[in-house]
Amino acid sequence: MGLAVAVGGAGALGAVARYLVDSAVQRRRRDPFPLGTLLVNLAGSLVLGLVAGLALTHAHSTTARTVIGTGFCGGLTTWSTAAWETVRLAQNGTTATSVRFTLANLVGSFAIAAVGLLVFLR
Amino acid sequence: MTASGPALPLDPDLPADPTGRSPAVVAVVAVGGFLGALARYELGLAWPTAAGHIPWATFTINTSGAFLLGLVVTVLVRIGRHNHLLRPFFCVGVLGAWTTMSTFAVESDLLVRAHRAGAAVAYTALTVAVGIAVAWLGVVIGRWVSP
Repeated sequence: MGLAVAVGGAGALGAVARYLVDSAVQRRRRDPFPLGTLLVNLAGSLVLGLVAGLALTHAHSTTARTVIGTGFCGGLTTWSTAAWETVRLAQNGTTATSVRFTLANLVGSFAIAAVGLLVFLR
Repeated sequence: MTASGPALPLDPDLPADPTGRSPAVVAVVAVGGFLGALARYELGLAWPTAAGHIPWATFTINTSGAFLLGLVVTVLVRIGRHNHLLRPFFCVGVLGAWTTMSTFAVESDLLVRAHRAGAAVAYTALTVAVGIAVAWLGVVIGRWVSP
């Protein structure tokens, strides 16, 4: 019960951070490339890689992995917004930007999560 | 596809609030984020993934969230008049926190590390293809059901 509330609270912080970062980044830009979503997804994937690697090698840190990883990183990163932006870029006729965003989001998140994991997993 | 009616935004977060920092908007994003993250955590507990297997719980979470975001943003934009906190609460807060890129990335990496590269490729391809297809479908259904 307490852990579930902590996960929800960390998710709330992550969601607010995503909203503030995405709004601040996108308002300063004219380019339709969704840099705000990409940045929060990269940051959250790096941190989740770190805490997931830590939890796999240090049994006492599974609570940190759940609250920071499942709660905060899960709240910070998003797949639904990324899918929406991919679809809207393609529907607007900017298919190249849509493909570029999807590849950057996937390759970037997978790679930076691997960097985080490899700090503790060897 | 014909794009009649009001233009749909590129970034679903943006028109919520002209300054981006209205306390009411931030508060409903937080409440929505609490609910979305809690629901994802509880579903993960109820539907655990065995090591080396495709995480179907995360796949279901991400795919359902992508569909609902496409549908709900489209309907709200086309309805026009609605409470301005509805979209930041449900779309930015609940659905943004329900879905996750970080878990998707770490799970795929760990499948590769467990020598299950085939499962990692299948999981990634399915999440991307189905996620984008259902987000598109959500937009199409949203245009169809809202005047």
